Amino acid sequence: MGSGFCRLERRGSQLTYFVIDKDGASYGPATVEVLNQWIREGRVDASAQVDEVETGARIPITQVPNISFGSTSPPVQQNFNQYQQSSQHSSRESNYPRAGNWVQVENHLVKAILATVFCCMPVGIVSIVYAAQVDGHARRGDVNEAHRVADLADTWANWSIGLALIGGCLYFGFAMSIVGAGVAR
Amino acid sequence: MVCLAVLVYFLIVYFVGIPCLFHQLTGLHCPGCGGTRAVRCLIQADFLGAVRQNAWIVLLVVPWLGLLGMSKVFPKSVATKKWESGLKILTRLTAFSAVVFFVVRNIPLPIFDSLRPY
Repeated sequence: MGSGFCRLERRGSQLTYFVIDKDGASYGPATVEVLNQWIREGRVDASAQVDEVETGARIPITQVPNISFGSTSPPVQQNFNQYQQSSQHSSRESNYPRAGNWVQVENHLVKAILATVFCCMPVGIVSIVYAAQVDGHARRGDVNEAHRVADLADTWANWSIGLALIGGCLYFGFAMSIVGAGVAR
Repeated sequence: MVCLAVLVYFLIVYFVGIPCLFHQLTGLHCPGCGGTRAVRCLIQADFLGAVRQNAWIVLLVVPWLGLLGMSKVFPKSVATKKWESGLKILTRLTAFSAVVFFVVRNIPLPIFDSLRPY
């Protein structure tokens, strides 16, 4: 949990923003410089909205301090598709959205598998199903949903471990009482 | 500490066996059912017997745990980018196959008998 948040906080010296897509997905976090670059490249237009990372407030991109719009901006969607297809610039930070720089959210997949293998409870399967969805949400830019699903995966894995421990203790106690009864007789 | 836990685990596996509560309660096989017997078979170098007991654990979980353990024990020499991405893919594969395995081994058809432990 929390690695995504840590990455946001390390950028905290500058104000950073998530750009909200028309279908509700968010891209970022990006600094004002990066936002300006996206605007120059025509990937973000003046109708876009942004979430301020530090405060969580959603504002129109035109109200971001130091933001600058050129005279023309090509349609946004077309350029999103273009960047989806090309991965050659993925090392550049300015290459948000959807080019490999998505915010990583701890997905608890390892814990879920371990809980399934060692705890003998199909509850672990539920955990795996949730954990498998985390990266998809994070890739789409839906960090909140990713965190929600990751927490669910964690909770179910913990339930699996807890149930196995309780069951194991009961079983051990039961076995010991039979052994004890056998010895007493 | 970890070594001790592993040792205790293997001793229990070899001499006692770990019963599956879920199997005893419902009669269904969980993804881990037969895992203890499979590990016991592996200790006796009976690879086919191990696969017969629990194919998922022998073919996916054991290699995955091995790679995971190596990347934790030797983080610097082993955990390169390529290794990490390979491990990630194997993790996803193991997780996905767990769900499929759980469903398939509980379908009461003779075809799937080999996926159930005996």
